[in-house]
Amino acid sequence: MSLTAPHPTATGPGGGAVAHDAPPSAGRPAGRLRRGWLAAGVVAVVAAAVAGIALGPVDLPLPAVVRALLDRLPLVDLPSGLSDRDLAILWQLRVPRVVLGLLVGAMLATAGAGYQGVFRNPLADPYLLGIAAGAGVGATLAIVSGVPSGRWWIDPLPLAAFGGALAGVVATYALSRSVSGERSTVSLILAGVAVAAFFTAVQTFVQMRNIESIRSVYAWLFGRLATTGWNEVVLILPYVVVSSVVLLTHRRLLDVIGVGDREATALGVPVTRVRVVIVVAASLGTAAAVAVSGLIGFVGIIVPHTVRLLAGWSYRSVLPLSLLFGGAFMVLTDLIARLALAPAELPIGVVTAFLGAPFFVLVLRHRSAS
Amino acid sequence: MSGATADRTRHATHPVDGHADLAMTGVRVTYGDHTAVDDVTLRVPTGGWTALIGPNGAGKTSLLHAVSGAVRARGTVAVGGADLAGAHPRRRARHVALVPQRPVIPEAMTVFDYVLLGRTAHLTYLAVETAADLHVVTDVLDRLDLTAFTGRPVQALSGGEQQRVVLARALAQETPVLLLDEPTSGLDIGHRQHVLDLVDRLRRECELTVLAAMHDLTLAAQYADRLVLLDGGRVAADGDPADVLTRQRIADHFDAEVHVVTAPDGGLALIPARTTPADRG
Amino acid sequence: MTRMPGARGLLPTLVMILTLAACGGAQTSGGDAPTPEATASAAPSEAASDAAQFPVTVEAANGEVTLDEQPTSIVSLSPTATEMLFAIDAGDQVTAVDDFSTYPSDAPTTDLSGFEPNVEAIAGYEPDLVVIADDGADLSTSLGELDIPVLVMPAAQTLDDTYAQIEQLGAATGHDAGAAALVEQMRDDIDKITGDLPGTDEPLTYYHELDDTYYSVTSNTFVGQIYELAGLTNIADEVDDDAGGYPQLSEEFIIDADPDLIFLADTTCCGQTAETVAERPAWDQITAVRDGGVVELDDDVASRWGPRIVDLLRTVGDAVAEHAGS
Repeated sequence: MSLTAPHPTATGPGGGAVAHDAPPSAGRPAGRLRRGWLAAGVVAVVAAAVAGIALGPVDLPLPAVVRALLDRLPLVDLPSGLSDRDLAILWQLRVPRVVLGLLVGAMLATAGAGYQGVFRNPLADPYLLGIAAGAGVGATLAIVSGVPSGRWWIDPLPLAAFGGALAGVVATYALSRSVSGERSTVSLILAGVAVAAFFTAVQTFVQMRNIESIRSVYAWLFGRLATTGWNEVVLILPYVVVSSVVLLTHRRLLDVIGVGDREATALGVPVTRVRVVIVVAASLGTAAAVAVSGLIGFVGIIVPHTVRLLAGWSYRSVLPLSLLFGGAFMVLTDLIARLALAPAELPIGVVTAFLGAPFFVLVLRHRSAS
Repeated sequence: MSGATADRTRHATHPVDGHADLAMTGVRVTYGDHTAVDDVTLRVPTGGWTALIGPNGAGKTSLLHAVSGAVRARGTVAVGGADLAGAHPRRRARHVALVPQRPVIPEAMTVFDYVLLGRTAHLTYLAVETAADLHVVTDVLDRLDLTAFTGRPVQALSGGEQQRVVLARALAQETPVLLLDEPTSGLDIGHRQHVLDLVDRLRRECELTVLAAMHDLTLAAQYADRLVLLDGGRVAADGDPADVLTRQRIADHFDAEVHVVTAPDGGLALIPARTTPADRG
Repeated sequence: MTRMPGARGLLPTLVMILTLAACGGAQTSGGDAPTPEATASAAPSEAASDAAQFPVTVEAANGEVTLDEQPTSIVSLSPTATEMLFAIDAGDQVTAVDDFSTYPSDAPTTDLSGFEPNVEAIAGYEPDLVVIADDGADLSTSLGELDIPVLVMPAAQTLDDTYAQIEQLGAATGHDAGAAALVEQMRDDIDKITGDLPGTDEPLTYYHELDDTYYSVTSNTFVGQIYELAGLTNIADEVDDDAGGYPQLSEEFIIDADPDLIFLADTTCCGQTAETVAERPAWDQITAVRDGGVVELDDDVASRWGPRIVDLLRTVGDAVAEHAGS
């Protein structure tokens, strides 16, 4: 930021005129979202989407893919030269999967940033308040109850996972309120730890009693971006949209909350209400994402932190950029998951963990160096 | 600039004309079993400066937090006759601004953005700052000679400069009442004077009503119109500095021996009296 | 999660058992309730001559195991071994079987677990022989300390392994003749089935689905070899197999490989049917889906290496015959 020379102190009627002359850089928040970063985010999303659609176990030539994509636009007629089978692979397998990846990645990253802001804790992730453990129990119960997953329109697995996730959050909230009247963040986090431990124990117990389904359960736990046409996308789209909108519109308030509950209240923010709204929105969105994709870890931490390192501390930048880069990141990791051992698929949670662990080391080194 | 903007700047720190007195009745603050503030009643007239004095743990900070709404309290707090009890935090923050003793400085936040936080009370829930808000901030920074630091991280500033920044944030809030919690702690003798002179100047220019917790009794006597002595959460004395600062009272409440003298400019000064013999010469 | 025996498996087994009875010598007890042609149990003279074969030493996967007397209280923790025992007419000697030994339906199923064996629970049945498929929990040692002989009969790699295990069980239970007859019957049946297969210009391709995450088998596996007998080519063989014969395929790969036949071994565990497969997006591009070449298998029949493997081959053969030349 440029430092301006002190201009004559002016009070009274002339004050307005002096402020008008001030150089633009001195008169705008440093934390605002810069156009350059926004553009970079959009470019990342588009590039990742194209890569995700064009690459896969089956070789589809890129120009033909691009033509096929453009052909879908109204009033555009571009024969792509792809066979019916390749087109089916493209539109019914790859595109929905990429779109799902964008939605899930965007949601997890944004929810993670929201949690970090509302708890003022850089290690907060979307699974903090018992969401992961709750979803795990729900999914495990659905899998071991043997309800067949063949009938997709009433697929119980995402519903059970979603319900479990919400149950986890409700349990955490209820526990923290009953223990500490003043809804402090510390008691919420601790309650989340207790609820997660309990639910995980229940889940492990159920698993051990139904050991033949252990592979299915673990496959779900490590996360998969499998799609059946556009069903999953349609299922979670409303939740992701609503949740993201709520989180994004609260970006200024998250910055204010950064000075602590007491000061923020003195500055005029209804802190408890804001915290509830953000936690509910982030939890709903995360529960939806988890319901269709399992537990994909690290996205909610890696992406917001990277964005902070690059674009600054303010949630005015971190939230929207986490949304964009989170989506791009998810599509790229899914690409790795699909290609690394083709045609087999690595569970996507494994890929994000492989990337996440060294990333933490880098972040730690950067912080201790600065 | 249009007349509207000029008007706005003129009233930049005083949106409430006339009645800006701070009156509190029966204020109680409890943390669990511990009562930090017990039935405090006091009034600061419009444009006045009242200093809260008292030993450590007397409840000064808790009282200020209660007035600003940072902690929940019983009793009534009214500004200009308007009762703030149960008010939405935003409404309260348009009447009362707090300069905390140990402010939390978010990492890497710049001076401009930190002062901009003061505009929170003037923005609706999800609104973003307008150009008018940015002008207020620039103006306040100018007023406090902080323009040179606009883009620097607050953490990089010295103690005295940070103190001015926090004060700037409170001023950007444009409230009629200003609460200060130990504004001189951690500052050297020169910066103490500068800060208090600044507050005094602003008080007169903008007709601010000031309630400040102060631990330096001499400075309190010099700058404040009235002193309120708190001990154990209760008001032990309330009046002119000369009436409140007696040798006996200091001994009773602070367990300290002092000489109360009149300074050359007419104000009071407290000189500590050594209880152990000085070995000089 | 329970597994019901496929109805398809019952009739051929009954036929087999009746055939064995007709061949003379070994009498059988095929006690499956739905079929009316249940036969009588073993005659006393049979037991006497079997007892004369003891003591006997059997070579199992855990080395040489010696049985001093004919076992009359057998505990089986391996569903395949259970099927084998009943098929060689040793069913009367079986006291308890594990919770997954669902075939034959009159096998004495208990809460015992083959995955997490509880030594005390097993010993509670006072067995004089325990048959298991995997000794990961070191059951042979623990039971050995209680002087209970254990036969470890792991998953077969080839058909010859299956025959060998049947013969070992026959020797161990005093039913050598019954075991030999069963093995011969199986060989005959298999020869007949493969002999009846129509020739095709190009071998048909197939995809064997283990679960709804597209795990499959290569031709190196036991099941894969059965398909090879039927003259089929496995689409999973192209894959770099680091998974020991059980690679995971992806939807794109399967669609691109366009198999002529699809065999579903996940009808029970994962509720897959020909309809659900046809509903999968983009799967309608596959020849097998278009031409009705999606065959639903019984999960158990496809995953065990016992006498019912003949049924599996028969089902596969029928599918080949139906789709040859298409």
